[in-house]
Amino acid sequence: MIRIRKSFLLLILLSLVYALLSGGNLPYSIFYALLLMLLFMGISTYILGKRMYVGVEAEKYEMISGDTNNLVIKGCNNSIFPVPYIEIKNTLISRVLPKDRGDIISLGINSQKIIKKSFNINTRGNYFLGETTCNINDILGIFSFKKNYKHKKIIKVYPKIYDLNSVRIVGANLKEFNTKNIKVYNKGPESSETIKNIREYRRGDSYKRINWKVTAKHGKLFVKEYDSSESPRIHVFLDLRKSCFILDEDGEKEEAIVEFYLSLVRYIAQRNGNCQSIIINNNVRAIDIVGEGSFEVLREQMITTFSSGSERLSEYMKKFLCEINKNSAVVVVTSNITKENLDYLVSLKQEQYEVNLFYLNKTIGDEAELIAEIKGKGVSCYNIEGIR
Amino acid sequence: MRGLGDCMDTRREKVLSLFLVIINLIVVIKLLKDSFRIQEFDFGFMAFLLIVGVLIYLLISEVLKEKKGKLLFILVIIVILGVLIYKYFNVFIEEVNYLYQNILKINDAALEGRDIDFGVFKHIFALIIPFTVWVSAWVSRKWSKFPILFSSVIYIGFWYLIFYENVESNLPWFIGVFVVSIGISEYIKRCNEYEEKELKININRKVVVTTILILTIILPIIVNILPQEFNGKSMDGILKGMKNQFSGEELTDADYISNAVKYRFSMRESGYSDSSYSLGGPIRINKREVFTVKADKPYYLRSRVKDTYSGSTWTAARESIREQVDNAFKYEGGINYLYEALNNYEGYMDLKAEEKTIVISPERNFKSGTCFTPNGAFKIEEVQGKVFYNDIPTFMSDDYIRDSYIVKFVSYGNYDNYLEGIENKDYIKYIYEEEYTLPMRTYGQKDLDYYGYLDSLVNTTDPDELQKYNKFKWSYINYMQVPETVGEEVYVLVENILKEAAKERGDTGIESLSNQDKALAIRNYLKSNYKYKIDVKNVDLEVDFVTQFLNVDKEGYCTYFASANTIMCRIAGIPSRYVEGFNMSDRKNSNDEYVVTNGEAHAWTEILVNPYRDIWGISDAVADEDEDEEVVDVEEEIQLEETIPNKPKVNKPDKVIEKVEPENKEMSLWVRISLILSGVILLVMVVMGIMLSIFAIRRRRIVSSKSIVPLYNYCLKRLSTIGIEKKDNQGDLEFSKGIEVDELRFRMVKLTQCVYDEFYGGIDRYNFDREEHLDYIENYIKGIDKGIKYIVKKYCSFTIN
Repeated sequence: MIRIRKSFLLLILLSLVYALLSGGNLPYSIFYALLLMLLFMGISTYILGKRMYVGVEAEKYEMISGDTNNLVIKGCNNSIFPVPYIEIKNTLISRVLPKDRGDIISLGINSQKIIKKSFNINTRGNYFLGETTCNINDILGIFSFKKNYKHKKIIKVYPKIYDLNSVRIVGANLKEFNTKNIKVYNKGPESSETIKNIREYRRGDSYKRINWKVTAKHGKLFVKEYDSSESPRIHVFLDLRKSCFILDEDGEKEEAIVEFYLSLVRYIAQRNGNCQSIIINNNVRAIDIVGEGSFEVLREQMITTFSSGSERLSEYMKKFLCEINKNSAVVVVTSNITKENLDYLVSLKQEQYEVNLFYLNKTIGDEAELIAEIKGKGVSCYNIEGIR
Repeated sequence: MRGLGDCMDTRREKVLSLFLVIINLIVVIKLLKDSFRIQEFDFGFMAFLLIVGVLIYLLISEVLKEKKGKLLFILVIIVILGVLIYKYFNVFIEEVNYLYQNILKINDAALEGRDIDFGVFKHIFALIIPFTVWVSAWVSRKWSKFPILFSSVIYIGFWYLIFYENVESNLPWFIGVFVVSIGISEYIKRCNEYEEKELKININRKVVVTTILILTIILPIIVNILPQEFNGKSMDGILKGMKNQFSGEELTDADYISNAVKYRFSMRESGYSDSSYSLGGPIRINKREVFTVKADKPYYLRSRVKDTYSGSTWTAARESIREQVDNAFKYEGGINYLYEALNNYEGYMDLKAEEKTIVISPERNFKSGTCFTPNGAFKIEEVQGKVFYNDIPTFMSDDYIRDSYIVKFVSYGNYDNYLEGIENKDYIKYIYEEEYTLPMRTYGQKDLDYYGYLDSLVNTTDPDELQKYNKFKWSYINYMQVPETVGEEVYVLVENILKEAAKERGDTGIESLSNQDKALAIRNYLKSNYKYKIDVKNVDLEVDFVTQFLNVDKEGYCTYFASANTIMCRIAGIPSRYVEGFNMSDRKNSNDEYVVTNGEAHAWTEILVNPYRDIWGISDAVADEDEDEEVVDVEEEIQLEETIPNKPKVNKPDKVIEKVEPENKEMSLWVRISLILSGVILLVMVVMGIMLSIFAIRRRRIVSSKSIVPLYNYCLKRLSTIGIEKKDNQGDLEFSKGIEVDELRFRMVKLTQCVYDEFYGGIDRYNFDREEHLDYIENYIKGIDKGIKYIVKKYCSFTIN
């Protein structure tokens, strides 16, 4: 959109009136000079606005949070006029580099300029390249041409996943991670060797595990139970309620918890653990993690899963626990260490569940006593900070 | 955030604004050089002055950064100057005198279009240029477009002075510098703006400089090619056009005539006072060119003829104005006689009337609807608007005349300049029945009494004679009007002059003198006994103008001589009238056309020579050489003064000079002082108006701004004027909490918290009542600083800082 400075328009009008009233060389010269400026600048700015192009590309479109990426902004001037002042602003840049307010560049005739911006993203998510605003100003400050470019491409930022060393989960019978296990693991759920039992379908079971033959025979859903579930099934809860992260404005804590959670799930999966991931937020979802594929699904899902909801943890968990076998391992990953939550966990323990608590607590205070107390009551507690 | 060396630090900004100031000053100096025709211009000296100005600016802005330092520096300079002036007071006075004389010299030389030596300007430049550089650089740091305004104002100002030709030739330079200045000031502004926004500046200076340079070269060339020779429109003209277009109403004849009367030439445009309102008074005439005339010889070109004298004005009370129509069946008024003369009607055979033509081309900036004509003009051609004429006849158009026009007039050969011609040996009396005489008037005889007396002298019963007499009376009685204000001394003087003339001729009585004898005697008397002077005293409106001139002042310019001449002729019994116009000089331009300037604006007397043929003669009582004589006088004075320092012991001539002209000098000094004072007052009022409006605009901005920060900054600035100052090491809230007065502290803390909310928290505080807060702060300060101190601090500190 082309815009003209109103004060200049007023000046030119005044000079026209002056020239008309007074007549003669000087008044007309002033008027002509202003008029020519208006014409030259108007034409050149308009053509520039039409012929200029600003493109934005990212070096990598998939990255892991905390990595460095580069954004390349390319300004091209395909006209016969030079542009002295171009103001370029990109919404992605202003999101990831808040201190960067934009760039001013000049472009000669038929030339281009590349600006490279290096940035880190520490929070998982989908990042649109966004909108680039480009404001062209002429040399005499009469016209400005504002142009918006919308970019549809997305940079996917995955949470970081790290290797955990020898985390012991009470109630789970995890194999050591070695090549033999990988073989077995790779055979997949359909391998007859690994099928241990057939039982009725319970809520939360993966459809992939349904044994269709038996189901057809009985008219009821039956699922296969694998060898690995010799060890009791592991239910990994991630506490992603918004209320846990009230003071976590940058999302740093949430990110740390998500990263740990994914690492833990992978750890269990790699050790052939029969594991179900349950993420607690407004929209509670459970995924059975069987093999690499389903883990990828979880990883992908985590990009767009953010904390929400404010109900009590026990409310969420109760709905699931009614269908879970006693003696199975319950793993809770949370940053919300409150008396209420801990008491609930203790009550679970008393109900014969094998409760494991992974908590993120950076500050040492009253919580230490609470943790010590529930440890005494048989709940296994681990500080994430210590494991990472 | 700053770019890689492309950032605009304050030093570069300073250099650029200094560059702006200097290029604008250079075009102004170039214009001065061309306008005043400065010879042997010393470029080195001017460069030195510019550098001195730059150094002063840098010293004050760079070295003396703190306000105290600046103040101290200025004080020291004032003290040193004061001491120097005190010690070398004589030198100072001489210098002031020298400057004053130089300014006068420049003024005179400029009016007369003479060359001036650079030496005359040297001291003036040395004073003005460094100061101008400093002030402009200082102002342009606050407002980068100031140098453009400065040069534009000078150019426009000079355009309206007599230097418009020089302005024209300097226009390309001016336009070039205009473009460069806008480009650079925009660059400064942009860099500041971008820096404020914390953008990463990566401006390619090569692109900026090349673009500005290309524009600078191309624009003046194109502007120069475009047509500029358009004439201006008057406001009335535009309104008239609109009236025609939109209302659809036809203008009536009366409208045209009223326009024609409105656009008529007035002597005021040439620097004289308007005789319809007042006569005489000190004047200053410029020599600006008004029109050129293609003619066989110089003529007296009349614009207006007036018959009624009131004691302080000349007016034309009864005018009947008619439109000039081609091939009219019948002409009325004086023009009828002219057509008769051309057609060789009965009684004109001996006059040898012939038709002549002159062409008058008005200069572009001369605005007048009058057609200037010699005596006997009967037709104007090639005027775009309608042409009107009156009984005299004088001609006028209903709009300003911009283009050349043709004047056709009747010439009676040797009879052209009746009274002037008398002195020529070739003069022969051709005129048929020239010898009519009327009796002299006596003091105390009112107009009606005199007319009655004339009636009583007619003792014939011949109806033809009676008709002739009545016709004479109706046509010419206006030209016999003498008001009662004219003193008895004038009557006595006229009688004495005529008696003297009669005695010289060997005749016994005045009755034996012909009209031309009388007029010639009066004219010669005025010419030889009265002094021509422009710089006269102010006129006392209570006293009769002519009486005052003839008996008391005895000096004046054409208005004085013509008025006196006219009234004296009337007293002597000759119908006469007061005429304004131009008296063409012999000066010609390269096209062989006579050049007429405002310097030739003139007033003279016409006397009735032949009532039956309506022939009038010119009687000009002003001596041509008088002006030169005065110039010589001035030169003599200067020479005298210059010789004084060489002979310090001789004090007498000095005293004599002082005694000779105390009155005039004092008068002109008072006039000057009052002029300067009124100028200063006007300037102060304008500055105050500007400051008030800037203040109002800023206040509105503060109140309507989205952000609350401007309000906070304003409060800080205002409070600092009464000693409540935030130290550099103090936080904002800390400062606010440290204010001693309770309510002020409470309010400032509240304001500071809002600022914090906005600045750190990004929360907008629209609901904060800014106006109320402003009023409170102002009232609080008003309670401490009272009266003028408060006002000065409020407007000055705020608008300047």
